[in-house]
Amino acid sequence: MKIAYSTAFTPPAPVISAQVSTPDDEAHSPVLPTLIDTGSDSTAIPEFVVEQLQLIPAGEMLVQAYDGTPTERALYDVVLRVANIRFDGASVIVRARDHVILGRDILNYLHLLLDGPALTLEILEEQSPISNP
Amino acid sequence: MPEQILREVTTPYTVNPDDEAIGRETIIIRRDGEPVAAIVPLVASGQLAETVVAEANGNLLGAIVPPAEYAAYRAWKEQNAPKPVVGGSLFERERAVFQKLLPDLLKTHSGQWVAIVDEQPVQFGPDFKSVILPVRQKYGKRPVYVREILEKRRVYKMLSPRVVRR
Repeated sequence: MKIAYSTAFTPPAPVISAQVSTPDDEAHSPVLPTLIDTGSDSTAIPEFVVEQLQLIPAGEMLVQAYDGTPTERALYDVVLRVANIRFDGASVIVRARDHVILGRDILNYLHLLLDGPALTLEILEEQSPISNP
Repeated sequence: MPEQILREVTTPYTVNPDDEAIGRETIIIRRDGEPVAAIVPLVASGQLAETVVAEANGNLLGAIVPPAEYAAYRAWKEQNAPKPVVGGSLFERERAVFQKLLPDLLKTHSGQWVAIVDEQPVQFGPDFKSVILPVRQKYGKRPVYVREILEKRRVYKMLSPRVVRR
């Protein structure tokens, strides 16, 4: 299935949907716009999700942003559903954005084709509905 | 039949779909200072018995609920909130234990991940997931400190800046 790049970003960017939840309450979880970011080592969720899902920290990670300064960030464990794949125990940090940033820790499980000139993203393989890489 | 007088609305209630609060935060609609409805983000509205979806320009704003149902929802949310940690931050305590144990852990489990619970290392594994999943299964939703056992901290890079155009 081809997905058009989001024009909410300039230049347009590959954005898909991801569902973020906790293992004890998967029924009430937000589906969020999710930026494909191959430049990110890790995945990040928006701040408001922490409050909505009442997440509690599960660890820490040293994160270097584009300004080069490493900062200690709380790590949360969530269930992520991306492209029909369920990722249990996914570790995420929080960033002040309104969308999920999907880093290579998750992207490396997906087969994606980014067609820049056509401004489309394609998920090449249908994954099994419930898998847990 | 008792007669009810409804106050005529002279100024319509307007919501800006670009407002960042829309879809994230609960918006209380008041008439003469009294709440008449709440627009609850759709993510939370699953706990509500009946919902009417508010939409503007094709954007979902949330679910419109009457004040009584919103009050019941708030009560439910408070009841299901995580229990406060007694005696300060349990997370901070587990972190301090990790720092204290780190020299020994480097000798025995260097390169692995560890979970500290109740001031004890309770689970080791090759990655975060292999540690957190059994810990959550055994201890449930509670503060836990999971970290990689390394002499020099690994720095995770998130280098993509967002260009703001004016």
